Amino acid sequence: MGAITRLRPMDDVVAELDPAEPLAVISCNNCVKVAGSGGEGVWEAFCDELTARGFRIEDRVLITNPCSRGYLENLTLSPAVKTVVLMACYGAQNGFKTVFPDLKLVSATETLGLFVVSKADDVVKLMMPFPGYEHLKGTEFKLGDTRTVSKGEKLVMAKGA
Amino acid sequence: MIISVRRFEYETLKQQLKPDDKIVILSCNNCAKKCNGLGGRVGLKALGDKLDADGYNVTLRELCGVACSLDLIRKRANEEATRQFFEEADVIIPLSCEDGEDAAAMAFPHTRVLKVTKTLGIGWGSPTDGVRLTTPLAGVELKMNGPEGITIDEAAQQLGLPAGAF
Repeated sequence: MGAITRLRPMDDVVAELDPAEPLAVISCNNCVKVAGSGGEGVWEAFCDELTARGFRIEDRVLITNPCSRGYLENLTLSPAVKTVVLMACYGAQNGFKTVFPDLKLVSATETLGLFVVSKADDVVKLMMPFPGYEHLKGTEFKLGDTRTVSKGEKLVMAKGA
Repeated sequence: MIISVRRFEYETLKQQLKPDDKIVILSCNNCAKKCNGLGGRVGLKALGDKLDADGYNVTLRELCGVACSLDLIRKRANEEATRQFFEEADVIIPLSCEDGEDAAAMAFPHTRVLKVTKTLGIGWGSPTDGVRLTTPLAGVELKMNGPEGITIDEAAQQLGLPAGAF
């Protein structure tokens, strides 16, 4: 667990794709679920949206935890696929590039940083940002939706901690 | 996968403890386990055994599935098997990423929670190639090597920090 991601706007993702090429859409089913930027439920809807826009998805793959690269090492994709849309954090994306260096990788997500999560509080909080997202440090998002900032601060550190 | 190393050696950790402290070690069994045994059962045993051998009062060695889940940490404060240990603890030593340390500090605001790890960023892990850091956090100055990244030991060496279990 630990990486907080956010879905890129679909128009931005589509702009990087060739409508004539068949795709694979691969999603992590771990941390991205916390953020609502992939995983069961979100991944299918994302695929449906691409299909509705006229793209042909050859392979749809849900992977438990692709930053454990063994999952990717055992993955076989259709020979027709030259472009993969990946719904996962940058760590998994880099692992993917080492296993499939000849495929074009299009990221469906941006990785904001690392989180603490609480289902009880319905919150995922960005604790440690990646470069470019420092301004979001401490932001609490609605659990399962990192496009929506939660109201009020629910996960509070003790003073001096 | 989150990549973390230690902030200091065991001797420095001891300087932060008092002889009569009641100590709980809280070890994450997810990413930290894969960081050369920083956490998980290996890290928990290594630190617990050292503190025991040096006469410290380790009252609980607790393994936690995912330490960045605040709910799982809070559960320790409420469950019968662990509640008393956490209530009476003077010090909690998380063996996790810094998010896990922060979650422990949120769950136990009146207990001293030590920060013993430094989290560097994310990467990937493989049975054949080990764990590789590819994407450092803001403020972590490391030379990267494309999607291959660098090993935990290489990262630790660049920063002059120790890696793995205490």
